[in-house]
Formats: sequence, structure tokens, C-alpha cells
Amino acid sequence: MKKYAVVLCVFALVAGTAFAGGSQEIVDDGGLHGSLTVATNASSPTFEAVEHIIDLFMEENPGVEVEYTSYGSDYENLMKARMAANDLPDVFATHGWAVNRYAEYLRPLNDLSFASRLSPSIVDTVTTDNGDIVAMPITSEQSGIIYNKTILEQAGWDEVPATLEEFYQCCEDVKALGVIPVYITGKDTRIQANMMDIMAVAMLITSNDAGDNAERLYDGTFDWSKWYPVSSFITDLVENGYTNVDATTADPIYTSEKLAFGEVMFNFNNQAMITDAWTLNPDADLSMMPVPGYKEGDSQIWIGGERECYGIWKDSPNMELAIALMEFMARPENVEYVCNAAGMPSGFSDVSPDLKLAEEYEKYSDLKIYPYFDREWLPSGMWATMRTIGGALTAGEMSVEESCSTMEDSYLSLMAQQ
Amino acid sequence: MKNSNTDIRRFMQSDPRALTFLALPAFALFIVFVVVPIISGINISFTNWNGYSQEYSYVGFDNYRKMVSDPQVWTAFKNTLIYGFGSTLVQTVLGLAFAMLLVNRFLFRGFARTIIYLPAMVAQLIIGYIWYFIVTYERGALNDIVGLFGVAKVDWMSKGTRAVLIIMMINSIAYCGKTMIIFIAGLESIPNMYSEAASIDGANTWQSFRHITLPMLLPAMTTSLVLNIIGGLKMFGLVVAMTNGGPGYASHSLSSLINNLYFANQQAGYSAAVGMFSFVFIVLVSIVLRKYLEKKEEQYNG
Repeated sequence: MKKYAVVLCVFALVAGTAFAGGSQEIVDDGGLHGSLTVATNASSPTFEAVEHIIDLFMEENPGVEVEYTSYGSDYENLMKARMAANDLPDVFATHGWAVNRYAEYLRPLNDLSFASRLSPSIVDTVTTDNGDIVAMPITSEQSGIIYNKTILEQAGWDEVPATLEEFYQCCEDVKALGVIPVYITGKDTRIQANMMDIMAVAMLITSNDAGDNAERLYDGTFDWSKWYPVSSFITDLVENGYTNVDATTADPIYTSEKLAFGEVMFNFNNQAMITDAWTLNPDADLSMMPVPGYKEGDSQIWIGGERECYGIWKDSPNMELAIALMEFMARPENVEYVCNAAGMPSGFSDVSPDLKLAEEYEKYSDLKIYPYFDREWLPSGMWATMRTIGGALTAGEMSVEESCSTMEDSYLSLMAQQ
Repeated sequence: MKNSNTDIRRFMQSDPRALTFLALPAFALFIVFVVVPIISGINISFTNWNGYSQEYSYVGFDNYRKMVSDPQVWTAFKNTLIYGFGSTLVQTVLGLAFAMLLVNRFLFRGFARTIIYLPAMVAQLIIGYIWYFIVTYERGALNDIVGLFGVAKVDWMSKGTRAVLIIMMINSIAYCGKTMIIFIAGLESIPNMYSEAASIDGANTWQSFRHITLPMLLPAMTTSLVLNIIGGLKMFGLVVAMTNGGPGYASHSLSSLINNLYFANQQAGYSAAVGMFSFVFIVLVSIVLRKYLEKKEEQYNG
């Protein structure tokens, strides 16, 4: 008998584990019941803001348990493993890759009530070629280069540099003040990849002599020797002494502190970094400037796209709950709450948060917003290559020519996967 | 119930081969966690899979061909050799020195042994992060120390070769405790009579170490060399924590490169091919090493 009891216990345990979680049922009270998993890579303060909204959702729907987790920097790897296993969280953040990476796994949201409220400037970045809106951008991004207004004035500049030449001149003037012109934190090479990602748009896409680069990048016939100026941007900064001495190894955890206390002039990050710096020093005279034009006569640009953005796994067993949560998050007051906390513009046309940088954005409102270079013009996976060459270029471990051929090799093999 | 238990016992005793059944759980685990992944790895290495999509196509030997001319793979391979053999050399020297020092009885011997062994119990990643804060440029302990002597601050991990050597040294220092324990066991098993006889014959300390202790330690040496070399060749955590393979790809080991190619670069097929190369290489090294050391043992111990 004992044996059967043990077998029964084991069976009960296994069955219990297998059926636990994820169950959803509608009971007589008409409310929603069940549990839901939501995953993101967001960090503070965006994470706390979304968590607050999810808590409100659970208050309104006492029968629903939402497990909201941030995997931080492991997020992408973890999501890739989960995509391979076709086992994804019910709702998850798409961090700029809704269309090019996650679309295959996302439920189209066109039929949900908030779809028509998404901002026209952002909706295309989350819409596939066949018109499916696959994700909901709560916050959006309008980034360029973070700078310190006081230091700019001290260096004798009334306006932010409008061309690359002016940018280098400004770095020279700032350096003369004894301030680090550009702060690079190469411990995490995302910073260098981000710098190239932004500058590549200005140099290869929006510059007056960009020619047919964009088409050639799409169809795989791009001449990669044209990447030269993008890589040179990093080496020029390092060789001219416009960066911190430890650009190769500095830890990004110090960035907000350096910005907050005026130790550095420029940093290539989004608005969230400024918000972070203001928590350390509310008086820090920080702002965001548009990306300078590549050559004389080229227009300055903004880089943007969706930021905190969620989609629903198309095979989610808790579809009804997932839709209810998304509709709840899309309520104007909730969107506004997250945008204000993160200090980011909203992805909805009917929500305009109270941003500290509103004046700057207003001043340059006639400038166009372009997507990040790798999200639009490169196959998924090139980000890692840009990180590798960015780190190597900063350390002087790779020549600019080598970086061009590394980009080409990686581009060709990733294009072949498509 | 009682009858069935007796039946099983009788069956087990009837034929010694029946005991093989006891190995079934281990065998099943081995199949699931070793054999299946290796076979699926071989399969993936012939595809252009991105690591997450449900679709991919076969590309024949393309990934293996690409590997031959890829500077990333060769740099990682060279580094892996340094991590494997360099660490083993330093670890063996340090481990042996500590073992000789701590084999004799003295006050606090146990305490000293524990202190030296302690880092070996900490995960590589954690050791990496601790050391990162020591060698980091700003607020790093090492730069504070050199600063005391009026030397300018150095960005220690900013140059590829230097980063590789530093990682190798850290690995050696962190894990020399393991080697020490193996050698202490070896030293304690050497009977005193040999060194007593040698000292009567007038052998000095070096001679008795060179001609008695060292040859008698060969079995311990075999174990420790094989473990250390394989450990070094599989180096992953320290690289990830200290440089993440950087600057560029200059300090990648094969393992960290495989991880980077698979997840970040989304070239799972290519990564699997590099993985196969790494697997075959480690197997070959351990076979050759074992054969060589066994031969040596036979030579000495007849």
C-alpha cells in the first residue's frame, strides 16, 4: 500500500505543478480570475511606474494575480531562449524589436480600443509590413546627445553644435575647461554601440550625400567601406583626448553621478539617464540636444522610437486577461503616470506628459525623428557586432578598416538567415 | 507486497548482470543532459539558425569553413590556451608551494589551509566581480595602492593581452587552493622512510624533493593537471564578469565567445560549430594529457 501512496503523492505533486499558474476562468461574479506573467527589461524609474499601474490593475480586479518581473540586462538572452522553446510570458516588453524580432510571436492589437490612439509618429515602428500593430508603446523616445547647459555656456557656446565639425570644436573648448567632453563607459559596450547607432543615421541615411545607402542596406548590397566615418567617430574622440581616460573599462553605474555633478559634458543616452541624474542632483543643468548633421548643410535630427512597449504572446493561454491588462495600461491617466515617472514622451497621441525637457523638444520641434540605425537598416543581431567593434575601437585593439570588414561579415551572415 | 520485494531481490541476486539496472537512472540522466544536447548541437552547427526562430535552413559545412578564417575564433582559441595551460602552470607552482608549507604541523595550520582554499568555493562570476572592483581604473583598490608609491593610475583591463594575463593570474590565485588540497593528500601518502633513507645517504632538501617527493606526487599531479587544464579551457565566468570578452573580442575564451555568438550575435548555428570545435579540442587535450602522465607514472613507479 505504501508504494501506491508514494506513487499517488508523486502524481499529485507533478499534476499540481503542471496545472499551477496560468489558469484562467470566469466565475459568476463577472470579474476576471486567474494569473498572468508580465516580463520587461525596464529598470528604475520606469519599472516602478509600470509596477504601480499593475498594482492598480490588481486592485480593480481582485481575482487576478499578475507576476511582473524585470530580467534587466539578461532579458534579451532569456527571451531568445523562450522564443526558441515557444514558451513566452503572456505580456512582454519588446524594447524596440517588436517588428524585426518578436513579430512572429506577437498577437496583432489592431482590434483593441487603444490602437487608434497610438501616436502617428510612433505607430509605424510597431506595425509589420502587412499592417499588424504588434505592440503598445507606453513611452516613446526622442533622443540625441545629453549635454550640460552650464558647461556649454562656459565653453563659449550660445547654441548647441549643429554639425560634426562644430561638435569636435565644442569638445576641444570643453576639454580646455578641464571637463571631460564625452563620457564613455566601455565596461558595458552598449554605450559605444549606441553612439555608432545614432551617428550612423546622420552619416549614412540623412546626410545630403547619403545617396541610395538606405535601399542598399535593405537589399544587402551596401558597400561597407562607407561605414568608415561611423567607426572613426569613436577613434577620433579617443585619439583627440575627448573622452575619459578609462573609456574602455568605466562602469556605466557612474554615468548619472558624473552628469549630475557636472564632471562631464556629453553622454549618448536617452532621457531616462537625465531623470536618473536629477534624482542625485535636482539642479543639474542637463538637457538633450539633437544629433548634429554630418556635414555643413546637413540637418540635425532626433533619434526615437518606442521605449517601454508591450506586446501579447499570440499563444498566451490567458489571452482575455492579457488584453484586459493592456487596455488598463493604455488608459490615458496610466500612460501619463509612467511617462512622467520616466521623463519620457508618450506613445499615445492623446497623452502629453509634463516633461522637464519640453522646452528643448519644442525648440527643435521642426526636426525629424528617425529610428535607431540597427533597428531599421540592419538585420537583428548586428547590435552585438557593433558592441564588439565599439569596444575594440575604443581600446585601439582594432583598426577602422577591420571594423568595417567585421561589420560586413556579420551583416552578410545575418542577412542570409532572413 | 512482501512477495514482490522478495522476487526483486531474488532476481537481482540470480545474475550479477542484473545489477546493471541500478545504473539506469544515471544512464538516463547522461542521455538527457549530455548525449542529446551534443547530438542537437551537431545538428544546429549545420544550420543558419538565429537561436530563437521556429525556422532555419541547413547550410552544410559553411559554419565550419567560416570558423577557419574568423579572427575572433582564433583569438579566443589562443586565449583559451593561455587560460588553460598558463593557469595550470601558475596554479601548480602555487598549489605545490602552499602544500609543502602547510603539510607540516603547526599552530593555525587548519586556519591557513581554510583561508587558501576558501576562494575555490566561491563561484567564478562572484570572484570576477570582486576582482573587477580591485583592478578597475576609478576607485579601484590596485590603483589606490600603486598611487601610494606615486605611480600614475593604470587602466588595467583596457589592453587585450594584459587583460588576458590578469584574468589568468586571478584564476590561478583563486583556485590554487584546490590544487593545494590535492597535493597535501599526495604528500601525506608518501611514507617517511624514503626521505629518512635519503637524508642518511646525504641528500640535501632539493635533491630529496626532486628525486623523491616529486616522482611520488605524480598521481596527485595527474589528477590536478587534468582538472586544472580542463577547468582553464572551459573558462567562462571570470571573463564575463571582468571584461565580457573585451576590449572588442580580445579577451574572449572559446566558451564566452560561444555564448556571445549564440545569444547576442544571434548566430546559433555558427556558435554551435565553434562549440563542437571546443568540445573536440578539450577531449583531445584530456586524452593526450592522461596518456602522457600515465606513462610518466609507470616510468617512475615501475
